[in-house]
Amino acid sequence: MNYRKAARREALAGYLLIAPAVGLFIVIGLFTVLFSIVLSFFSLPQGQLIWNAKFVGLDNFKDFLSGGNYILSGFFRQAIVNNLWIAFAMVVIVIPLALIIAVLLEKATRGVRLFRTIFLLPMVTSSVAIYYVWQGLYDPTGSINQLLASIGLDSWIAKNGWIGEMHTALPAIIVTIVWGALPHSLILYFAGLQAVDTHLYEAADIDGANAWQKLVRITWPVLKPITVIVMIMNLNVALQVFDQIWVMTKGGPAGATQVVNVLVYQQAFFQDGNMGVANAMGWTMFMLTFILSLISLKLFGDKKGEESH
Amino acid sequence: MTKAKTGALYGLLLLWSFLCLYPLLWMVGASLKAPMDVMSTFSLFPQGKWHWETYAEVWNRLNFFSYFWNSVIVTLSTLIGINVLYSMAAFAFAKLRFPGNNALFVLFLGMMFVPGITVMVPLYLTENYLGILNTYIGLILPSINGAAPMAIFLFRNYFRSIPHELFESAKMEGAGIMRTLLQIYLPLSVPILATLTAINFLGSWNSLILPMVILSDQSLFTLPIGVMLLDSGVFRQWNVLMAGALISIVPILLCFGFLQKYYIKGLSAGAVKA
Repeated sequence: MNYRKAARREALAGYLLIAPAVGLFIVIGLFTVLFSIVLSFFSLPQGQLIWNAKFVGLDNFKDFLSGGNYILSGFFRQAIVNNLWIAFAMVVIVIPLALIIAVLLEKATRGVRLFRTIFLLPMVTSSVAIYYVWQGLYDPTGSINQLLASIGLDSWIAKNGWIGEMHTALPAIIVTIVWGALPHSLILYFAGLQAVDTHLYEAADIDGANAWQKLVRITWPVLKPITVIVMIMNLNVALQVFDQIWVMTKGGPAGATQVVNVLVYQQAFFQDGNMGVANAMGWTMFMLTFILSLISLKLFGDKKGEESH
Repeated sequence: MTKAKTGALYGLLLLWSFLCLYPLLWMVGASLKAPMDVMSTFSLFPQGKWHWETYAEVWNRLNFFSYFWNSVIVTLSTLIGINVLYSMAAFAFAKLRFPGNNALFVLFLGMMFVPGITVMVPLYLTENYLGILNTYIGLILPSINGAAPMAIFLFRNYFRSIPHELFESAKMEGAGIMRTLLQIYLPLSVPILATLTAINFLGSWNSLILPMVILSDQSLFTLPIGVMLLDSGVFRQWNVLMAGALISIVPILLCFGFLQKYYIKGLSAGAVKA
């Protein structure tokens, strides 16, 4: 048998099979990513042709990071603070709430499948359609204000609507994001809890372990790696948020809900924007997301040998 | 558990169910009310006449028929593209030896870290240059490519979990590589096909930024943009907006209903790759 010929035929078949995927990847994936990185160092005002791009070094980054463009820097600072608030809220609200609901669901004996289906609906339906519903609920005469009025909490009513007032707009947007993002974390925790070996609890009972010891020794080791994933996932959602803001507030009122991705989109496709600055902003945000994810990994990630103690 | 504890448990689960369902019920109720009643009555459903005719208006006069079919065409093509392209590529990565196999596989996986909005500008410029801006193809190709990391990862792992003897015996019988993939491996991979279909159906159907950037011709618009167009008047007609919104999520609910098991699998798989 001719092994070299067979090996060559196998390699050829391999290349033919990956050719369509790789071709698409090179044109749509790799090329645009490299193009985007390069563009971050060029100035290309919106509406100009690509060959009018001018190399400006790090000026794009200076524009929005260190006051090179005073107005844009202000917008960017406001946007990144809002992104970080959303990220903070996602972590401190979604993680405990998802865990609590997952524990409750795991304790239930009847209707578990139905509950699980209902609990997933916010994530499945999160789309332009649902963001308009939330706009309706937050409306000056919407359900939330009507409910507050009907139980006598008139002083709590947001007169311009919950997304129409400076101090309530961001919390209201966060509620919408949490509502849509929570199911993913919930499902992961639920799957984790189901995977805990119940024999371990029985064995612990025989050994006389108390509830706290069982939680720390049996349940937490399973939930810890899930918590890392959940944390990174939610950070990602918070720092890359766009759809909710675009549909509900477009960053308003007066920038109260402005986020970086909306700013990127406006810089890229609106008049007076600069496509180079848009790319520089996008990659800055990417770096921030990446660093925060690494920090979460370091803080909660499994350290080798820790279990042996 | 004591009775009181059981009661509290189900009470809390029902409360959370209510919070999950309320916005959806509000959507249905608002779409059936008279325009003036949506914001002025607290009751979830119309107290007088149920205005079904709003749906006909949205579907016919407000072009939802066309948006709906655009969404169907784009989503189905995306799903077919994902399953065909990446089952082939993953089969090569999993089963065939060729120089660069691992490096290319890792490069594909690395793409999942790329932030979507950032590459919109070069994507727009590239598509403009290729002449596929403002076409179905211009929308479908990036959607397919975006699913590559997860699809290749899932298919490759699954193909590797199938005993290698199967591959060897197919070879002995004289089956070519394509036939081995199509007649032996793909029929065994239905769970992966279903998982990718469920996850990417929702992703593609709900996608907003990509069609916003790529499409400018209203006759090509997909449903999410169609819903946003309903809001473009000076005076917002909540009943019309909610009828359009409901039309846009019915296919999602159907897909979720049929493929829930696989969707949940996909959620876990998607998390592991993150």
